[in-house]
Amino acid sequence: MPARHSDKELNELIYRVIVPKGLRPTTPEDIDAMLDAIGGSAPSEESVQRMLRKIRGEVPIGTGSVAEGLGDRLAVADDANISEEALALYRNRNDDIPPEIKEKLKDMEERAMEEGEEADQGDTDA
Amino acid sequence: MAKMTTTDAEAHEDIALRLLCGDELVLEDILRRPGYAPAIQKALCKKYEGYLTEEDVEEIVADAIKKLWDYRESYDESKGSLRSLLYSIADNCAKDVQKQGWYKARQKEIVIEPNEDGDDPLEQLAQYDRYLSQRSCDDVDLDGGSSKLGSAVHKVLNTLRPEFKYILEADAHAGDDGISQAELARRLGVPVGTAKVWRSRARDEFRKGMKALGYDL
Repeated sequence: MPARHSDKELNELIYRVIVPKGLRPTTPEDIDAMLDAIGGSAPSEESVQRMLRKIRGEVPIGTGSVAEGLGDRLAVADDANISEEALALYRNRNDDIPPEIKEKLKDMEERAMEEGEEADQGDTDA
Repeated sequence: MAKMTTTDAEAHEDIALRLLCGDELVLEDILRRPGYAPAIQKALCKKYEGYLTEEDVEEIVADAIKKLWDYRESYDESKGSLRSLLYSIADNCAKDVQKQGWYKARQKEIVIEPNEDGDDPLEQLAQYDRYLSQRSCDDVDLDGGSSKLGSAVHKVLNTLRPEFKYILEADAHAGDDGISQAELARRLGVPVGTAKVWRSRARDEFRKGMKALGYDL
């Protein structure tokens, strides 16, 4: 039986599958060929000036936020789980709602209100 | 492969010469000229799609150009073109940002001069890919998942929970041992302990799925 691949090897296997070979150049010549093939469109003047300020050290680099991944979607999932809990409680109205669930429901209502207002505001701005 | 024209070669030489002479105006040329910053940005956006934003990539390329400028005296033409060096610096920076987030990536200094192992960034990049291509299970073409093994990997990844798929792909993009626990937790919006457990479960479920398709990883 072959030895189990390490986690590092697993990462490498997935990397080779999800990143096309054309985007994995291995030599300077390969890189040149890839960059020639891609070319790229002329950046906006605003973008050039913004990058120049960063290169010259007038503006700090790396203040942007890296992609947040699934954070927002997971937050929605958490809310969904809490809603299930709340729903289960409402199904049996004879039981008292525990204070912590009441608190969560209140939080969710407030957040929903705020998000609704922000969305309305966004629609207005657009 | 497109053959480089004399004009192209002269333009590349001109840019390299001006950089070495410390002509600051060359920075704008690097930013504007197709095949330089615009191509590098586009390549990195495509490569890290879904894992780094366009804004991140713009910062990464600006950072790489700054490093190239700061260490321009170390540039050795015999090791490759200036833009291939710029790309490799940017790609390494992208991996660092992917792995540890901006805060820690900012603290890393670039080493253009050969390190104690005699490696330079381009050579490190080439070694990494050679290493990948020599792995036992890579004796088939995995490009884009078109091979049998590649298709199996895609298939299993697509059956996983979105957060598990995200973890495995983010680890793959980060290289080496993957993204740091703290950065992973930040991106997923969960505590570090949860991120650790999810990563372990993601790997287990991936291995289980691959085993069901006949691949014992």
